[in-house]
Amino acid sequence: MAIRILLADDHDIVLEGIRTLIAKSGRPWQICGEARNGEEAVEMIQRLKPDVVVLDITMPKMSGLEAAKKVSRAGTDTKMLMFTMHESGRLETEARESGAQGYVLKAQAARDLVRAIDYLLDGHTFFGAPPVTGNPGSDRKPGILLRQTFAFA
Amino acid sequence: MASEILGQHFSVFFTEQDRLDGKPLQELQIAARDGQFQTEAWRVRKDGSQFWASVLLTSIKDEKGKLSGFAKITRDFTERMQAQEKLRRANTDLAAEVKERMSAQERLASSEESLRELSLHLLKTQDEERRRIGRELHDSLGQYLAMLKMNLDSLDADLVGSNSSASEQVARCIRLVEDSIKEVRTISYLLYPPMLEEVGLKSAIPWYLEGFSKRSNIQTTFETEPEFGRLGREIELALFRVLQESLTNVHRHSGSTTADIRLTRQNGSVVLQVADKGKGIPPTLLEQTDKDWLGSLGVGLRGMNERIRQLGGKLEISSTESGTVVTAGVPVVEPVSALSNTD
Repeated sequence: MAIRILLADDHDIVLEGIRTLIAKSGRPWQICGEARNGEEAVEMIQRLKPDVVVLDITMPKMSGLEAAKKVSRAGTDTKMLMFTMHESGRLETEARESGAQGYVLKAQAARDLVRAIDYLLDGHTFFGAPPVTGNPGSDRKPGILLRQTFAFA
Repeated sequence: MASEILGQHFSVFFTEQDRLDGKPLQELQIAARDGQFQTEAWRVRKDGSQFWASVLLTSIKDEKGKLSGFAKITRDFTERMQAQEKLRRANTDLAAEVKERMSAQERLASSEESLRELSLHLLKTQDEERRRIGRELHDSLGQYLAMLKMNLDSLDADLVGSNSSASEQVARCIRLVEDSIKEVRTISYLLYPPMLEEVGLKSAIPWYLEGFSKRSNIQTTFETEPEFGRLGREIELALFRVLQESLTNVHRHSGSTTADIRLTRQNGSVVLQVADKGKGIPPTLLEQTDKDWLGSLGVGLRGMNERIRQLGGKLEISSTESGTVVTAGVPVVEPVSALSNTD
């Protein structure tokens, strides 16, 4: 059965970009739906049970983080990948705490998005943008665990 | 001279009007009936000028009790009356002045209130405008730039091993778009911290401290409770601005190399505390009256004070030679657990 991927983002241009990247990657993945806000994302994850959801953080009605929390609390097999504009270690930690397995910056989509989905499907996490090590399909490493620190120098 | 009055009618002492009103006879009748009559009124001197008189008219009776005449004592009270009149006028003027001052004070208080409302309104408008522009930049322009970079990256990958000139051009475009993304992000973050809406105050604070410490070289610590939760948007923003303002003061004025931040819930209030180990606020500033001391610390903190006050809270500053502590406390009804974006 083909891998099914759900996309959740309120910007057409981003949805189009993800579709293009996935198509170009040649992976046999099927995009099973597109949610336009956090509430829709929660409903579609629960109804469609995709293998992976690519989840924007800043969305109307409900943020991606809140959606991830809801889905996690309810229990799910869907792997959740945060796909965001926010470059922040803190937010990565928040994403992890909300139940997501990965965090990819939109500006690094071409380098990281497909690679991150590969990681997640393989049962790994993708945080802190692991370095590219040749063919991502054959040499996958678990994501770097970010430590939560409260003191800054 | 006494002789000048002898034989004159009693009524010559009265003013023309009093005579026409029949007052001379009325007064004699009262004195005859009651034994005496006392009054203060205008009377006429022999030269025709008027004076304010105190008059005592006493009836004189013979042994059998029959009225035989009247004794009259008239004293000139003009000066006393004028003094009294002057005093009365002064009192009236004073009362009018007091009234005027009270009214002026009321107008002043009303103006101050209007000014306070206006400044608060301006703060809110500024916040909204900054938020709107910040989000537009980040969420709209930012997305386009990110996708532009994604396409350029794909193009770059496609060009590997082919035309090197085109590849160089693409690499330059990628660098340009990366710089643009950074610029947009910096501007939008300064305008409005997007983290605040996404993850709330508890998480936005360490995020902000991270950047602040890098920029200022001031070591910061942050202490909070594990289950702190979300607050209303206005409260989170107000406390965040207090943090920004306080840390700016620590950086600019205190000379402290550290700043310790605490965010706690206490008895139905949320309390933000920013403590430094700097030289403290000069005593001359702190000794000023309650109303002025905040103002003397700058428009920034005054604005913060207004924000906190508006939320029913209180901003306090205590300062010694070994450091300053800014404490902002705001009452909260209950934590807002769910985050939802409405735009």
